[in-house]
This record gives sequence, C-alpha cells and structure tokens, in this order.
Amino acid sequence: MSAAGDPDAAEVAGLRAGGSERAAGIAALYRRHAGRLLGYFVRQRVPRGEAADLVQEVFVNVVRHCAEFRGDAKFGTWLWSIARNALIDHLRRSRGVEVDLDELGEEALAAASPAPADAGLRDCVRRAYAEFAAAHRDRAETLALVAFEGWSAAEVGAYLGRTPGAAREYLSQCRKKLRPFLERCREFLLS
Amino acid sequence: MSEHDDDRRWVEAIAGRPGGADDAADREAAAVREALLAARAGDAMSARESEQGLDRLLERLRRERLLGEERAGPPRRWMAWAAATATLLVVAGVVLWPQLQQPEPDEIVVRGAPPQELVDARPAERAARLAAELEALGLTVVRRETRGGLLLEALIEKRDDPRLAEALARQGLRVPQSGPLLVRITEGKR
Repeated sequence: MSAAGDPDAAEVAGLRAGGSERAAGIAALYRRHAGRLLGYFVRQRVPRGEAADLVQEVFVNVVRHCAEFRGDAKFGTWLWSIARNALIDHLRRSRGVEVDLDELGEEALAAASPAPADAGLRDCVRRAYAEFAAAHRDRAETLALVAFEGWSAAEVGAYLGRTPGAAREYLSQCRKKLRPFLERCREFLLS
Repeated sequence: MSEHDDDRRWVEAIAGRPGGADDAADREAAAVREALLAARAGDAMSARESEQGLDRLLERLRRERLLGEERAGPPRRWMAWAAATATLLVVAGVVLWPQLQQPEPDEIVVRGAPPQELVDARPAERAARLAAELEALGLTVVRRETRGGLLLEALIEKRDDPRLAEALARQGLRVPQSGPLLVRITEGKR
C-alpha cells in the first residue's frame, strides 16, 4: 500500500520532527479530524463528555506512537484504527467484557418504519441507512469512512486489522446486510 | 458480471469512484453515498469547542513531555553512511522511476454536473478557504487529491440558498443544477 498523495503528510512530518513543529502538526491534524472522531464515538453511544475524552486519548496516542507510523499507509487509516481500538478499550472497560462492535449494534435494532409514500429516493435511502446504522453501527461507520476517506479495500483492512481479502469479504457482507433495509426504496431505484 | 465484481464496483462507487454504468446498482450506491455524507454533516465541532479541545490536548502533551525537542542530529560517524545511502537512492530513483511509474488512478467522477474549475497559485490554500466558507454555511465538504489538483465535493441541501450562491459567485463558481458541488482546483497563474 502506498501513502502517495496523503493529504496529512506535511503535518505528520512536523509531528515526527518534534518541538514547535510537533505542536503545529498535531494542532492541524486535530482541527482536521477531531470533529469526525467525536461524531464517530457519539454515534457508538458513548456519552458526549466521554467521547471528547476519547478524542483526546486518540491524539495523545498519535503523538506517543508517531515514531511507529511508517507511512506505508495513509495517516487517516492509521488514525482511524487507533480510534477504533480506543473505542473497543473504552467499551471493554465500561462493560467489563470482550466487545464485538457489530453485535453491540444488534441490540439497538429498530423496527423498520415504512417510508412515507411521497418520500423521494434521497429521503428513503437516508431513513433506510439510519436504521441500518442503528442495527450495524460498526459496519455503518466503516462504510462512512469509505465514503469520506475514499478508502480502498486494503485501507479498510488496515483499519479493521484484517487482510485486504478479508476486508473485501467484510464489505460484501456490509452490502448484504444493508440490502434488506434498502428494499423499500427499490421502486425509486428502478424508476 | 460476477457477484464479487459487482460488490467491488459498489464499494468503489461508495468511495466516490463510480464505474459509469447508469443502472440500479450505481444509483443505489450514489444514493447511499449521499446518505452517508449527509449523516456526517453534523460532525463538525464549533470553532470554540475545537479550540478548547486543542488547548486541553496541548496542555496534556506538555505535561506528559510528549511535545519533545527537535530531534538531535545523528552521530557524525553515521552521517557519511546516510549521505552515501541517500545518493544511492537518488540514483536508483532516477534510473528506475520511468519504469516504475504506474498510471494514476482514474479521476473521481460523481454523478451530476461536471467539476467547476479554478486555477490558483496555491491550490491547497484556496481549497481550504473555499471549504471553510462552505462549511460555515453548513455544507459537508470532502477533499480529495486528484490528478493535477484538488477536488472539493460538497453535498447541497438547499440549492436556492442565496448565501451559497453569493459565496460561490465570489469565487467565480455557481450552484450546480443537480448533484453535489464539485470544484477542481489546479495549480497555475490566475
């Protein structure tokens, strides 16, 4: 995997240089990514105050381990894998058990509400996706990262800690699990 | 097309790289991508919240002595080796580069109007200013590096918002009639 064209490359170089360049680098990375990290934790049902603490923890770990970041993947992929691990640790601590992020989502499975007859494709898909996200939070977040970061299967694999092949299978499963939720939007998609 | 290929195409379209076939699968992926971008529109922190969080982070990094000093230079005896290795790498790079050059990935194409073009001596700064202006109006902006420049993609909720039209007009841009706003910024003299 190549990190060519990594939009965070300049800031990461500053981070690794240390001193004032490190402070400037981490500040730029924080301003760029903290909002989405906070949203990610909140959507995973972490109370907002604790979510803000987790964002802090992620960036402290970024600084603490920046020497280990070899740059063979994009910084964003590495950052999100740190965030995912921080979330798993947090849930493990608060629940005292091993955690499967996707199983957690199943607890929140909401009954699918029919879309209003006059809802267009956009509204229909948004509702369907919100229900999918309630049922499969981790999968929904992964797909969101694919959309926002433009990730390839290999980058999804780096985030999930899986091989590219396993990541492709995971993404296929995401699509299969999303499909029933989108069923009610079928008429819009076919029109 | 096999199911495997179909899934791969779907994921590519979710990532903003649709294959161009105007079928139900592509329409589904485009609608899901739009839903994903819209669902994350509320993720931005307020400027105040962001700066408070950053102050807290920098304070903690200082307290834990993680901001550190500039790295000291390597011992002198390694410097000659480092210089020799760097020279070798440069020579190898010059010789091998033409052979190793791969075609760049296809440009990101998103359903809707084609990208509007801006030329600027500093594309990154221009993109940052434009993105900040759009985000201040509540739009979700995704930034990508593409062949020869930067591409901004912004989902538009209210096409008739006069503030949006004014903000874009100031940059020599217009609100697209359909699909997301796409602006490609390339380097060059204005």
